[in-house]
Amino acid sequence: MRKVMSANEAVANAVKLARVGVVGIYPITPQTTVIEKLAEMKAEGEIDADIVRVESEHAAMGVTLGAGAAGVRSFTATGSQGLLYMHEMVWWASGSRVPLVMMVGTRAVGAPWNIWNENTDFMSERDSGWIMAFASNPQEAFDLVLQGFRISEDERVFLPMMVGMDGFILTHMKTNVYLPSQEEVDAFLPPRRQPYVIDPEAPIGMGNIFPPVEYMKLRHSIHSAIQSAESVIKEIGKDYEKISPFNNYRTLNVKYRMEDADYALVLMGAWAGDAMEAIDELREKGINIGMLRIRYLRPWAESEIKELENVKGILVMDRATSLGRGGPLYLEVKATVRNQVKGVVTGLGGVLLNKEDFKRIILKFLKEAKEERSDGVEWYYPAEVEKVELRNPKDVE
Amino acid sequence: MLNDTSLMSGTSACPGCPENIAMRMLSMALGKDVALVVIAGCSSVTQGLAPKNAYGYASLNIAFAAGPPAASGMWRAYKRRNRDVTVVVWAGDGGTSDIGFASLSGAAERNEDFIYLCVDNEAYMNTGGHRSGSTPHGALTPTTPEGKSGNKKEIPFIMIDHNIPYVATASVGYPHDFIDKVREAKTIRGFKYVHVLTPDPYGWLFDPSRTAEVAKLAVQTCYWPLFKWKDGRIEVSPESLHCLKKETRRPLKDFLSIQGRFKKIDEKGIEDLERYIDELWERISLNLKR
Amino acid sequence: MQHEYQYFPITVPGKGAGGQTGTWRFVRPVVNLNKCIGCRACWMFCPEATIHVIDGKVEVDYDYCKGCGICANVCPVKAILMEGEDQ
Ligand SMILES: Cc1ncc(C[n+]2csc(CCOP(=O)(O)OP(=O)(O)O)c2C)c(N)n1
Ligand code: SF4
Ligand code: SF4
Ligand code: SF4
Repeated sequence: MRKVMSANEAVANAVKLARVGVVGIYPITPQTTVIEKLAEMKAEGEIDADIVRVESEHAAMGVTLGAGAAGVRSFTATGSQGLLYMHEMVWWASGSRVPLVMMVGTRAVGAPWNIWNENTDFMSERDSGWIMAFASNPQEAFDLVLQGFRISEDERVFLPMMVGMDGFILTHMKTNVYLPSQEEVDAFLPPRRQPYVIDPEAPIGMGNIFPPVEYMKLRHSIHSAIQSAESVIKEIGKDYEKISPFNNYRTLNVKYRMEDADYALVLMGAWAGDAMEAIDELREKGINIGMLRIRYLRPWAESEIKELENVKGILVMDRATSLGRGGPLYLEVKATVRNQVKGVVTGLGGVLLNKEDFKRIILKFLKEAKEERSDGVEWYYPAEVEKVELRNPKDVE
Repeated sequence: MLNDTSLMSGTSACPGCPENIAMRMLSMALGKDVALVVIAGCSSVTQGLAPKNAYGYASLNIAFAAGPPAASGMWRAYKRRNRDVTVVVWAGDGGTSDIGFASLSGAAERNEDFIYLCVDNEAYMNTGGHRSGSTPHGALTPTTPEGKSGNKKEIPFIMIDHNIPYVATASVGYPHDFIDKVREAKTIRGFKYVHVLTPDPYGWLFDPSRTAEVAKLAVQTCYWPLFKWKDGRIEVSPESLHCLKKETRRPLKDFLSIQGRFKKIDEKGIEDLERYIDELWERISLNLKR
Repeated sequence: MQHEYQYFPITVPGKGAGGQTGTWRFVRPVVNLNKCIGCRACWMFCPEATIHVIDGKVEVDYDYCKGCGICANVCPVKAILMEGEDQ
């Protein structure tokens, strides 16, 4: 079935089709329409999940983790301040090895208040031992959340998975979304599997003290599981084709016009759309640039990124910062390839870029690359920044 | 005949640990089919080292403030799986009255179906006995070397104000009262709050052989009231009935003088504490008259 | 587990999770069975679950008893004495 819906609505539909049993919810813009939709589905009898309206995001993860540990498929969603507030539990979830899925609607973090898009919140969880995907359109938001349950519950993985999406730009973006039928999803997503269940039937304990070497081995196990997830994700992506017309999940990340590219733009998220338009126009002018869109931050598909070594220059655009250092994606790419890498930090706090901005950034980079000085990090402000109309936060909701 | 299954000998607890005593009594009350959620505190340590665990119950250790939410997720999961399991959150007084208070309050407001058990040793014992919201006025702790100023937070009353179906106080000095209350809690649907006083030799500074004795003295001197709240009323337990009249209370000094933590308290401090106890019992009496 | 790198933070109930705690002891509880009336108060309050009442007879598990002395303190007939470990 195809239906026009926002990415947030698509996420709610994925949760429904995955037959999630328990959902912990706490509102934060721009995630709110996911939990509103789920509450509405519940009220109308479309789903029978327990919707637990908790008092904080720390608790939302507590509920989600508790239900998962006790043997039921569970889900939550948050972003920004909520994700930071949840931070302790984000680690507890991966440390517990309980499969579950979380949607992250990205947003700038305070101070000061700013409700617009930025990915720094998502990026700040990159060391926490989760599988981390990032969508770029509503269809992908749906697909990744649905696949997320199977990836997370795969015995080679057994880790929680978060799916990020750009706040407003994607969360509220409406397009046609293809939804497989319930029967198809049931065939794709087997009943829940998990490494252990907390149940008096077999009274095990989870999480009392592990001495140093054993603790380190546990961390090592998460590390290995994330790395092993790479082939699992590809396998599941291929299997997904049985229930979906989309066949672009055979790799973790997504290439665009890279076959003959001399230069590569690397980025993540919804602005890939504008970037592709800019690339098309530059191509018409004979500039051989392509794009690699990062869809999985963890696992970091090293071999896919390493292919970038074949191009003459790499430009990484981050909608996030590691303040005082550069963009997180830039740092990751730089640590993977031998080439010179230029980083651009932009789009923070809702700063909008258009196609022309992408062209401007790319052209400047090409000039520097030819002079072999395309290294380091630049903070880019759109030329027409003063014309960017900041909407009233109240209108946004 | 009572039986216990929850505690395996050879725990990491200090000798004379009151929380261990409470843990054993918990299983005397509940028997099997229990899942524990253990938040940060002495109990996360006293379970001992992997690959073993000193608790005989299925247990999920979890971060400080996440006990009630995790239990909310768990009981719902068991219900969905048609498993008849009593979920118990096991929490210290710091985890209850301070850092975990919002999540306790949230779960109570939602009337989640589990038992919340607060083991109250009146300090952050795991980190070294630092003051918590539950530490009494005048007590010395490493973070109040001059003696804490300000009374203990009255969590049982605050929980009553949440209008949950069951609130009870207990003391490890009176096992049968404690066990009966936990058993009763198990029969009730919705949020049950049980607060058990667990005098701690290392925070209160008394000889570890006297844990049970101090737990009794706390009740006899009316410092710690034993009651339950059910169907909108308080019922004072027989062990505490004498406290309703000031004349029949055992002198507070009998309780204070046995502990090192009150060694710096002056007459004024003792009067403050006595006034606190008077007001505590006035409040209970008022509810009884209602 | 099928995948050798998979290792989960789970533990199983067992005695001695805190070690051979009997070695912590300075004093040991010694039960005078002639005095004992079998009331089980010592069993009730033992924080280490190291008192067993078998056929009405009180036995102490010295492998794990920490010598806290609670059992002696709560015994109504003073049937338990704490004796120095060096005796
Ligand atoms: C978020 C967080 N802050 C601080 C700590 C450190 N911490 C561990 S246990 C503890 C004290 C617990 O005190 P209480 O809840 O009274 O339980 P008790 O140790 O007395 O049993 C503290 C402060 C922690 N684990 N997590
Ligand atoms: S400090 Fe107190 S509560 Fe903590 S383990 Fe020691 S005796 Fe038990
Ligand atoms: S001395 Fe303490 S640990 Fe040993 S048996 Fe007696 S009460 Fe139990
Ligand atoms: S407390 Fe004393 S009398 Fe009672 S069972 Fe124990 S040893 Fe015997």
